[in-house]
Amino acid sequence: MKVAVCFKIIADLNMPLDRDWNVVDQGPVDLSFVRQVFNCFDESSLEMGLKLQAQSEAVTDKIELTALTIDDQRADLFLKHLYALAYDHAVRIQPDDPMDLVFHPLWVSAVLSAYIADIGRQQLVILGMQGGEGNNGQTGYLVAERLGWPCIRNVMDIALKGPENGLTVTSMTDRGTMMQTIDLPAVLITGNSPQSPFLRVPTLKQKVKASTRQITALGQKELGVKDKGMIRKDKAPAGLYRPESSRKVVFIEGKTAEDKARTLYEQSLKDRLNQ
Amino acid sequence: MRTAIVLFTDTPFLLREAGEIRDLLSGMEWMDMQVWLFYHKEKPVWVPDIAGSGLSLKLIFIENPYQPEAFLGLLEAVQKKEKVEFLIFSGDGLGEELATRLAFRLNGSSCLKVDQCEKKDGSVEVSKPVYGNHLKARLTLTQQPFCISPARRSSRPTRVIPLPGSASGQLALEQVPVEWVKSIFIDEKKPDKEWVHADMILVAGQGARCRENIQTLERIAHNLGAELGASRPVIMNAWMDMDRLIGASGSVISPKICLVAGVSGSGMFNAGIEQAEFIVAINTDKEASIFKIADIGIVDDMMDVFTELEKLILSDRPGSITDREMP
Repeated sequence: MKVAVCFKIIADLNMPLDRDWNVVDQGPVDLSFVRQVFNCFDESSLEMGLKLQAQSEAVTDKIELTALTIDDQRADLFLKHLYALAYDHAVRIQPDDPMDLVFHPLWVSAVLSAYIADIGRQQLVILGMQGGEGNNGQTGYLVAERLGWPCIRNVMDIALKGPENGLTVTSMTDRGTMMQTIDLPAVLITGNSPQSPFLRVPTLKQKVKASTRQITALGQKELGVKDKGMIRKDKAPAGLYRPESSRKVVFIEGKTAEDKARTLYEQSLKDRLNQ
Repeated sequence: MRTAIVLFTDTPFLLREAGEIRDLLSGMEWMDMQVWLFYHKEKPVWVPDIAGSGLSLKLIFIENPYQPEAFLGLLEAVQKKEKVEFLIFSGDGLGEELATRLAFRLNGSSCLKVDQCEKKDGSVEVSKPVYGNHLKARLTLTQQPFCISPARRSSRPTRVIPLPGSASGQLALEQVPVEWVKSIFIDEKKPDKEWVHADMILVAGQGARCRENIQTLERIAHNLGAELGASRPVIMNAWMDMDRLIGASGSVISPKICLVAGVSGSGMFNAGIEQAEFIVAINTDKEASIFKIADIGIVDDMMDVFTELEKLILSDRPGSITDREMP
């Protein structure tokens, strides 16, 4: 079985200070000075891929695992990290226009599905439910539509059904936890997953071994996605703005935590609790 | 603009989801509005009161409510007949999936997590939180039909009204078979969401440091008369149950008092508490983002502050007996 795990590197959005968000226009926002991290839902997806691969070695042929991202060379460090963790292929697709990555999941899904259908030829795609920058939450559904495959959202866990070409997928729904046995191909969209919350850490030996492996870098044209104008755009950015905060914090001072707790209780909580 | 609101009656949060749509559309023109109401088990006898009983209602039976593909096939059939220009879906996972996939199939535009929208000549302008809720983006949807779903907010659930018999239209549609799923098992443990309506909620973040401290906070929350929620790192560390997750991917709360401690204040988290009436934030880092949305801030160790707060509250309740004794 061939599996693609799509991921996105994003800026750690907790790091910029308040003033860093003030000067914006149509975007994209310059966050190049901020530490880059795996998008948290994609991190769970990448770990699920590794667990599935480990299962497959005991049950059937080893799964062929591809890590796939759309980014510039800043992603190479992360792709090498995934090589170190036993990903078989690390593929980066260079975008023509970085703005498309933030607000145009239609475009992102076109590029991902072109790779999966024409080059990678995977039977299973795993990706996170949303990224923090564009906050679109649509890419997985659109990849499924473009490929003509079914999809499951809010996935928490995946297990191989057996030697056959199928999976048992556990997902969270409003009604409770749902377990489905499915045939492939399929797109799985990862939500909050306590079973795979974080990506494992490679050993130094694994890192050294991975450092010489080549990353496959492709352009849009090599995917047949010739021109961004050829992909329908369903929305146009009309501006970014900083929402006003209606609150201004007042800090409670005191020598000890106990002093501050007393002040908090007497001045701010006691009356409210008695209302 | 011909508009349809799409809802599914068999979700446990129907009235809250209808409330989110009502709040999103408040102030907008209500002309030519339909409600497309999916049901699975029994034909509904009441409907959410989104804008009075003047709406045109379409009832759609769905045989397989577990697969979005089954909903999509029926939606395509209804749209072929009704040809609405604007579709508003619920803000839960099903609504988001249907909005996205239906718009794609119909060559329309879609946008999720919308917190404001405005009809303009031939288009719809929406705004939504981006960059981890630090910014908002205005986007113009350009291709009909426009398919949107609202951002999660702490909306008051709608009232219900009896099914308006004369206005209701039962649609007879052919069900769409879904063959790729071989078996389904649902552990029908409905998520415990009643706690989100508490007047006081204590929210713990990664600053709690360990499961033992979370257990201590559960006791303190109980003695304070509060419920305990958590940020994503606490849930991902399995220190608390998933039902207690607060934030854009969990519950959105609006208690009278929110005591939030050990939380850095990512935008995704802040979206879950910013509608609280009064927010007290406790963190050891004075620069933490959580203080940007707080009324009162304390820079100190959260466990020390809460332990003292617990003593103060209990000492003000003479004779009160707690079922969880302090050590």
